[in-house]
Amino acid sequence: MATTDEKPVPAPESRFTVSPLTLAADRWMGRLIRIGGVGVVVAVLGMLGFLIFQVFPLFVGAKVSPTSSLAVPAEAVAFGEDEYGEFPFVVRRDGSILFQRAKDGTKLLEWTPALGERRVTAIRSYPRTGLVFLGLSDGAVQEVRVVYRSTFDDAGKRTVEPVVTPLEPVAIGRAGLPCVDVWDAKGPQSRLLLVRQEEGGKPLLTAVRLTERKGLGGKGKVTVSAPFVVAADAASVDQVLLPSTAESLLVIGRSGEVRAYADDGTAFTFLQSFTPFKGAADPAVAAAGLIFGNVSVVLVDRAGAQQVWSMYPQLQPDGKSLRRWGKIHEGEPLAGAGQGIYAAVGNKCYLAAAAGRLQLINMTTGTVRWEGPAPAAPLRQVAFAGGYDRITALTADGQLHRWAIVDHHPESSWRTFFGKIWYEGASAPAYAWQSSAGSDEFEPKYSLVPLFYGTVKGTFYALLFALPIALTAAVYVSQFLRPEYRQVVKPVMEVMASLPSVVLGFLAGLWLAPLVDPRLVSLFCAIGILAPAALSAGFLWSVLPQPVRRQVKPGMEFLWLLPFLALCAWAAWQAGPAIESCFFTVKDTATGLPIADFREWWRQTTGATYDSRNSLVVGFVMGFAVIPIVFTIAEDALSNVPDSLVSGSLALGASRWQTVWSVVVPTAVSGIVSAVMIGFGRAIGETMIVVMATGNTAVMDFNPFSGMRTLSANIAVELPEAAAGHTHYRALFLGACCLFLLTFVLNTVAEILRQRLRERYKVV
Amino acid sequence: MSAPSDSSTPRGEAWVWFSGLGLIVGLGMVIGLLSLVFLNGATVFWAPPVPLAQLDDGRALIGQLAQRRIRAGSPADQPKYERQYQVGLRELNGNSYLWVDEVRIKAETFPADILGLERVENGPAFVRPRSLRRSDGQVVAIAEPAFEAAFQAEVAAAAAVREKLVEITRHRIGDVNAAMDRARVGLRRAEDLKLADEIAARKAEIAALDARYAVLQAEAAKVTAGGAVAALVAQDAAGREVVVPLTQVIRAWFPNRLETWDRVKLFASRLAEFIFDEPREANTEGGLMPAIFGTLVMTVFMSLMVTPFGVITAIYLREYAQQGPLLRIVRISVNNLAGVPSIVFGVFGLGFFVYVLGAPSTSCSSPIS
Repeated sequence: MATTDEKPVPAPESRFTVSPLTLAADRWMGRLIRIGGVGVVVAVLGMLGFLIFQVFPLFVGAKVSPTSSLAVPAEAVAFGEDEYGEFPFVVRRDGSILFQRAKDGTKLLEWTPALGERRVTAIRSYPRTGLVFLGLSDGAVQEVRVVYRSTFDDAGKRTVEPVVTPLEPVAIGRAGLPCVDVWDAKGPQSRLLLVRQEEGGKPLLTAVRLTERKGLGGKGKVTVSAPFVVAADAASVDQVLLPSTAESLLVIGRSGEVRAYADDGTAFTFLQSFTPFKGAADPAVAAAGLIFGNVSVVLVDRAGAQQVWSMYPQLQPDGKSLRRWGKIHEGEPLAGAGQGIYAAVGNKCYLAAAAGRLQLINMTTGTVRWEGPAPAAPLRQVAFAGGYDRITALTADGQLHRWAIVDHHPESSWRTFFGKIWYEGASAPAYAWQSSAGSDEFEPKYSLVPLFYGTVKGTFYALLFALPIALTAAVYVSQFLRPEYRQVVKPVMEVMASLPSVVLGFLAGLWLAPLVDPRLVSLFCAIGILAPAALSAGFLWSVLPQPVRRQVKPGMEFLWLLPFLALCAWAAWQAGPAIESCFFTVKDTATGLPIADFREWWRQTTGATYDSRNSLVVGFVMGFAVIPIVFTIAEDALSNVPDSLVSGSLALGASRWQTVWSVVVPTAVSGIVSAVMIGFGRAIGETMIVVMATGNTAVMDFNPFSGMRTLSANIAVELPEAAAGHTHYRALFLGACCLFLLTFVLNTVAEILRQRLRERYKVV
Repeated sequence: MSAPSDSSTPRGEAWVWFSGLGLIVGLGMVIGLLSLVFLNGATVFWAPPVPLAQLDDGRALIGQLAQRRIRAGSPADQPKYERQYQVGLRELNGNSYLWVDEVRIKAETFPADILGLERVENGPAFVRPRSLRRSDGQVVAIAEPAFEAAFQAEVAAAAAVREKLVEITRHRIGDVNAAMDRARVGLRRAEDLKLADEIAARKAEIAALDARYAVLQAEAAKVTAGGAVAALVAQDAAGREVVVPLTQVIRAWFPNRLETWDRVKLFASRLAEFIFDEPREANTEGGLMPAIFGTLVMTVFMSLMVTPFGVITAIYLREYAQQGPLLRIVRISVNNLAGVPSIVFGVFGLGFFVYVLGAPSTSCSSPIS
C-alpha cells in the first residue's frame, strides 16, 4: 500500500471538520448516557428513600396540642359532648344540664330536673353514649338521655338542636340513703345500673338489671329486676371499675386490695383478689382505669408506680386452666401519685395524670406517646373522643379544656416490631405476628421477629440443599468436564433460572408435597445414598488397573456415574419401606396397632408437628431458584482462573484434583463467596414458592417438618388487604425495607468481592 | 480417599467423581421438572379410550381414568389401589369424578358406542347414544348407518348457531347495554343539572336503545328456536335417559373408535382451544387467552419502558465510565437492582405508583386512614 507513486491529494479542509450536528448529537448523547448510568444509582437510592419515608411515621410520637378552653359554671361536675365536640354540656351539682356552644360559649339550652322533694347527690355522665345518671337522695337513679338532633335546611346548612329526655327514676339502693356514686354498663342481654351508698360508714353496692324487650318496630318494654347487693364481702370500697360490657366488676379497697367479681347471669360472684402493690410502703391504689376492651386494668400507686393487670388463662392448683387476672406489664413510674387513668376509645392508649403532668401511654408497648403539663386545677372528668382525635377534660375551676391528638400509629414502637411483648389474653410474653382480627378491641401484633425467623429458616433449608449441588457442579463443569459438553451443560443448568417461581411453588405445593408425604423415608434414603455412592464409585475406579481406567476418558466421568447413581438411588428408594418398618414403627394412637410411619414417629418421639407442606419441600424447590445463580457465578469465577496457574501446578506434578483444590479454588474463593451471597439474597427474597408450598404460619421453631412465614410471603399475602397509611400497611413497608436492606448489603458485599477478584486476575 | 494400589493413580480421583454428582443432580432436576410439566400438561388434552366398568354391587360406570393411587391406610406390603374416574354428567351425578376401590371392579370393557361430549354447561359427559332428533324433526336411531354422519353434521350446525347466538347476545346486545348505561348516567346528570333539552335527547336515546334491544332479543330467540330442535337422546351407565341439546355440545368423539390420527387431531383442537379461547365455566374449562394476552401486554410495555434505560446504562458502563469509584457504585447499583427481591419492587410500585401518583388529587397529600 505504501508503494504507490501517486502523490497524495491533500484533502479539502472540510473533510476533517466534523459537522456541528454530529458534534451536538455526540454531546447530547454523551450527557444522556451519563445521566442514564447515574440514573441506576438514583433508582436504587430513590426506592430505598421512598420505603424509609413510608416507614418513618411509625416511629413518630403523638402530637397533642391544647385547642381551646371553654368557661363553664364552676359547680359543673360532669360533662358530655356531641361527636364533633361543637355543643358540649355540663351537669351542675344540682343535676341541671347546661349546653353551650364550644366556639363562643353561648348558652344554648338549660334543663333542670323536676324531682320534687328529692335532691341529686351523685352524677355520672357517659359522653360517648350521651347518657347522664343522676343518683338521688333516696337511693333512686334517674337516667337522662341527651340526643343531638341535626336538621338540614334547603341551602344544606346544618342546625343542631340538643334534646334532653329524662326517664322515670328507678329505685335501686336502700331507700332513704343518698346515692354516693352511680355507674351504668350495657351487657349483651341487659343493662346494669349500680349505685353506691354509705350505711353507717360502711359502703353498700346495689345493682339492678334492666332488660329491654324489643318488639317489631315498637318501643321496647323495659323490665327492671329486683335490686341485689354486690360485693358485700369487700371490707372497704375506694374505687369501683365496671367494664362497659357489665360482665365483671373490680372493687378496689382502701388497703390496696383489688377484688374481682364475675357476672354468672344472676349475681356477681367473687373470682379472685389481689394486691398489686403488696411490697410497697403504701400499698393503696391511687388511680385505676380499665383499658379499651375491658380485659386489662392499669393501676397506679401513690408513689407513681404503674402496673398493668390483665385476664388470661392461668393454671390453677387443681390443674384446670381458668381466665384470671395477672400482672402483665410494669410501666415506667409516673412523676408522682396517680390522679387518674383515662382510657382511649378504639385503641389501647390511656392518659395518666400524676403530679401536674399528663402522659399519653400505650398499654401494649408501655411507650409514652406524649407528655405535657396538666391543667392547674384538679381534673373532674376526662374523656377521649370516639375517633381518638380529641381529649376533653373538665376541671374544678370551671374550665372545659380541649386537646387535639394527632397519633396515626399508637401501637407502633421499636418494641412492637422487634421486642417480646406480653399481649392481652396471652399467658406469657411472645413475639407474634397477627395483624388483624374480627373485633375492634383486638390488640394488633406486629412483631417482625417470627417473620425474620421464618425467612432465615427457609433460606437455611434452601441453601443446605442448593449449595453443595451448585458448587460441586461448578467445580466439575469448569475444571473437569470436556469443553464440548460444557457448551451444552451450562445453558441447560441456566434454564433452571428461567422457570417462574410461581410454577415451582405450584408444583411444590400441589404435586411434590403430597407425593413425597407417604414415601418420605424412601426419599431420604435415595438422597442420602447419592454422596457415598459417588465417592465410592470414584474410589473403586481409581483402584482399578490402568487399562480398565483408560476406558473412562477424563471429563466423561459423569456419564458413567449417571447409571450407577440411578441404580443406587432406585435401590435405596425400594428399600425405604423396609427401613421405615425397622426404625420408625410406632403405636398408632387411633387403633393401638403398631404402624410403620415416619410422620407419626416424628410426632411421637420429638413432640414436634409434622406438616406435609414443610421446610424440606420448600428447601428442595427453592433449589431450582438458587442453584442456577450460584452455579453460574461460581463457574465463571472458577473458569476465569488464569491458565498459567493451572498449567504451572500440573507441570509441577500435582494431580488434577490437587490442582483444583489447592490452586484454583483458593484463587477463586472470593468469587465463590460472592456466588453464595447472591444465592443467599435470592433465597431470602423468594416469595411465591414460600407462599404456595408452606402453611404461612408465623411459627418460631427450626423443625424441618413444619412450615414458616417469611417476610416476603407475608407482604405478598397481606399487602393487598392493608389500608393505605394504616399501621399495618406501614408495618409491611417496614418488612419490605428490612428485606431491601438485607439483600442490599449481601449484593453490595458480593459485588465488591467480585471486583476484587477481577483485580486479582488482572495482576496474575 | 487415598493409598491406591497402583502408584500411577492420580491423587483425589474419587473427589473428581464426587463433584460430578452435583452436575448430575442439577441436570436431573432441570430435565425432570421440564418433562414433568410437559407430560402432565399434555395428558390433559389427550383422549384415551373410555371403559365401561362393572362393579361388584351391580352398578356400572362409564368414565375416563383420571388417576390411580394406593388407598390410605392399606398395608405397605400388599397395597390396595383405588381409581378415580371422570364420569362427567355433573347434573345427574352431582360430581364429575368418582373414586372406586380397585377390588370392586369386576370387569372393564371398551364398547365402541361410548360417546364423549364436551359441553357448554355442566362439564363433560360420557354416554351411550340411542338416537338423534334432527333439527328437521326426523329421528335417526343409533342402529342406522347414517347416524354418525348425521350426528357430526348436526353438531357442526349447532356450533354455528351457538356462535351466532354468542355474537348477538355478547357483542351486539352487550354494546346496546353499554350505550344504555352511558345514556342513563347522562340522563341522571342532566336531571341533576336541570337541562331540559338534554333530558329530552337522552330520553329519546334510551327509547331507541330499548327498541334496538327488543329487535336483537327477538333475533336471538329466533336463532335459539331454530337450533334447539336438534338433540341427542342417550343413556348413561345406569340406563338413565339423557337428552343433550346439540347447541350445548362443543366437541363430540367416540373414544373407543378413534384412530391415532383422529386422537392427535382432537388433541390439537383441545390444545388450540386452551391457548386461543376464553375461559368458560368459572375458569374450569376453555382457554387462557386473556391471561396470555395480559402477560404479553405487560411484558411489551415493560420492555418499551425499560429497554432504553438498560441499554443506556450498559453503554455507559462499557464506553463512557472511567475506572473509579463512580463506576463501582453504578455496578453495585445494577447488581442490587437485579438482586433485590421482586416483592420489594411490588411494595414500592403499590406505595408509589398506586397510592401516591395514582391517588385522586384531592386526597393526594396524605393517604392516611
